[in-house]
Amino acid sequence: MGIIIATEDDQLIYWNPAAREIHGFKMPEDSIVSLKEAQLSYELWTPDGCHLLELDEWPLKRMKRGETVRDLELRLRRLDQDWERIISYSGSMVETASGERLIFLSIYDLTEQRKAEAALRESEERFRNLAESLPHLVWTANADGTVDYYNSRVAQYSGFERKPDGTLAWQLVLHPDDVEATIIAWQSAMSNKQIYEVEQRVRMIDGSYRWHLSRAYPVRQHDGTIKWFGTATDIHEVKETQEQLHESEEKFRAVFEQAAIGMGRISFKDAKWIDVNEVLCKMLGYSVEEFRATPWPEITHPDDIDLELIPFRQMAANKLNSYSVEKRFLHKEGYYVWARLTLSLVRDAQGQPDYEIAIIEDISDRKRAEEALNQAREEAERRSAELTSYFESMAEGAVLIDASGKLTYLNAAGREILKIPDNAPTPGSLSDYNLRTLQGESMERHRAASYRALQGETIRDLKHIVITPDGKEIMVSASASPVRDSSGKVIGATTIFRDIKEAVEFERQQAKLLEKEQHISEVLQKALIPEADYHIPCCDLGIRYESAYAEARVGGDFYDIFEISENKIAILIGDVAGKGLEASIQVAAVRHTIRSYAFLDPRPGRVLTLANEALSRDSSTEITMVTAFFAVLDTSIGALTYANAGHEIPFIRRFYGEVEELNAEGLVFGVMPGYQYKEQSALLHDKDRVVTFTDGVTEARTNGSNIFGKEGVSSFLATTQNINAEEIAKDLLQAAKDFSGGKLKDDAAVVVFGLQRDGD
Amino acid sequence: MVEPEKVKVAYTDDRATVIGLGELDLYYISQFDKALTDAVSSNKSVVVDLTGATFIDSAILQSIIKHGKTIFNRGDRLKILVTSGSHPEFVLETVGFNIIVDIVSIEPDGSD
Repeated sequence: MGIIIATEDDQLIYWNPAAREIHGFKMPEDSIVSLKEAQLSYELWTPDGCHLLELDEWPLKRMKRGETVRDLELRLRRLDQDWERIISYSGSMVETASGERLIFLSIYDLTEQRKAEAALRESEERFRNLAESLPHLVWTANADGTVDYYNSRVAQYSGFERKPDGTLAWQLVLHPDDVEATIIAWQSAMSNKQIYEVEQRVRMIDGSYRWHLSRAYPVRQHDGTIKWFGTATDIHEVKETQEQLHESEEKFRAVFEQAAIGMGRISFKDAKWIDVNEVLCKMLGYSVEEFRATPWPEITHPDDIDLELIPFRQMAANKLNSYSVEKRFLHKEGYYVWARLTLSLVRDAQGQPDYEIAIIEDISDRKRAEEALNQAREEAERRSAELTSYFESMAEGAVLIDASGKLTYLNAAGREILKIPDNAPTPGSLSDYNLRTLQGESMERHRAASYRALQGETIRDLKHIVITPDGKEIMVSASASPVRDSSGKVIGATTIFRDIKEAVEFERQQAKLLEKEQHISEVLQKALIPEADYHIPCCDLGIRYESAYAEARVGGDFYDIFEISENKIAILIGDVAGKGLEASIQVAAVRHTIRSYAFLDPRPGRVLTLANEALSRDSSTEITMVTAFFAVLDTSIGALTYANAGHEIPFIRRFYGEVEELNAEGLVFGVMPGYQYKEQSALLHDKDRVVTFTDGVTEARTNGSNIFGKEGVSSFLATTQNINAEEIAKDLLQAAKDFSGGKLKDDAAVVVFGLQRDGD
Repeated sequence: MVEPEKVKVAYTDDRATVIGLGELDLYYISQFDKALTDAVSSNKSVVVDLTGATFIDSAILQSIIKHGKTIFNRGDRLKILVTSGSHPEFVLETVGFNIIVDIVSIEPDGSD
């Protein structure tokens, strides 16, 4: 502080060095003793430099006039040098004890203070200009949080309330959900005097909320107080982008973790797995850590590594962003898993390859199915080739047609049968051919085997005549089957046919031969089996013979009745296993052997013994079972002698109704040479009837296991009232047939005989 | 429809048994004859078990006769088991075949 003491007549009594320095005097060289002298070296201006004070306005003048000057701030400009100061003058006229009037003036140099203040004002101005130019809401607040400044951006928002003191209440501008967090952050920042920062939604003038980043810095003022400088920056787009990115990442993560197919990320620079999802772990058997520790090529089938080389290079050259391949991955357990791999490249912010997203779909089942399909196709082709080869090697014609009747294949034999020249095209359709029956009648085309097979029928050996397009007539036998698809639908037909001209001719010849054989059989029949109605004196004779099959009239059953001598009648009934001519020959042999021996020695036991001997020694044929019952009836006395070679044992139906089974056991012919047949005898009364039969009668049976048997014969004889041999024979055979349902299963012969006196 | 198996062969160390079941008509002759041929060729004691048979055709009988004679000629006897009162018993007795084979009649189940 400078002090100046001067007299009333402007004489300086005292001014201290500070006063001199403030006024630009270098003391003691500048020896100024008079105020007037000093006043010549400088001027006084108003502080703003706009008004030059007259001398009367100077502080000393005013004090001399009795005024008290207090804090009068003036600008001092030296006239003789570059010196300008802002000075505060305070003082007054004082009367001393001696009555002297002195001027006491105190002065302060405010130059630096005012410069600082100006700088501050300038700074504030710049701040405000800057704040107004910013796109953000800018504000300042006092230490207590009272907002004392905000820039014009505040007009963009809705909800700021202006308090009477001009400050701003900001709570209502915030989204309700963000108020609490904002208050907590703000209070924390104020109490700790640390940076305030919070993201909050701020209501805009149109009512929408936009995300803002509010930040404020505490700045200590020159007076020691804290002032907050804050901004609210609209980060809505950034926030939305972040949220979208976050959402996108969440979605990716969700897809990654929950995908039904394998997914993973692979670093582009070193081909190492970054992460993998659980599906991929299960698919290939590795844990996440094992994946990360295993380079990509090590789990790739050696043959498939090159598959990815070219696309990888294209990716590296920015020419490709994704590709798909089917390759084999090595499962941890050592086998390979077929997979469809799709790799998509993700680039970093600079556009360089960063990592790849791998989508790996297990296609083992599909590959297996494809393999099975290929195998099936190859198998089908092989079979087709085999079938074609087979068809081509066949002597029969083979033709394949589709559902429309179009010929799709005709083998070489077929072309030959149909007389199609090698260089001629195969007729295209079944409709190119006409049909005729073997008898020469017209035959409708839809009756052909192929057409019927197209309707789902399976046809065997349908014989007819085919008339080719060029008029040739070919006699064929055709068998056809429908060709169906997997659903059972008929999609074509296969027909095998052969030329049967020769076969038909052969059949005709065979038929003639059969006719001849039939004729021979009939002749033999007459020769071997006597007519049923021939007459033997004194003998009541009833004969029935019935073949089980009309076309095989000559069976194995046989009988013979002949007179050995006067009053002696021989009766023979037997059975040879088998039928036809062979059996007939055997029958003839047995019959004539017995007949021959009977004429030499009529004793039945002797006859059968000799016959057995002859038949047993006949090694020309394999053993054929032959049974025979042979009896000789002396009609003069009714004596019956008989022997049996394993034949069905006859019964005697006595005239009084009793039925007796003959004692007639013996071995079948041909088993044991030298076998002696035992001869038995019985006495017949008038009207007694001996009933002989073959096993066709006793073996008459129902479809179950019930057999007519000898019990059936015995029962019939016990109940019949008839004594006529013919009637007994007829009724017994009918009873056996009735028992078996009207038809016998084997040939059957019945011979009934007894004495017949004149008048019976 | 598949015909039930009516002819079976069972072998033990010293015996071959041909078993005939039900109605053995001409349809089964080849099966029966083959079974009996195999049994006879085994050089074991041969048994024909017809206790389960209700009927035998003459062709079956002829097969039995043929092989019974073969066995008889080599000093052994074919043993045939039949149910008493059955058709096989009746037929075998009728042809007098017990001279060279052993026919053993077994009472049917439930009879005394």
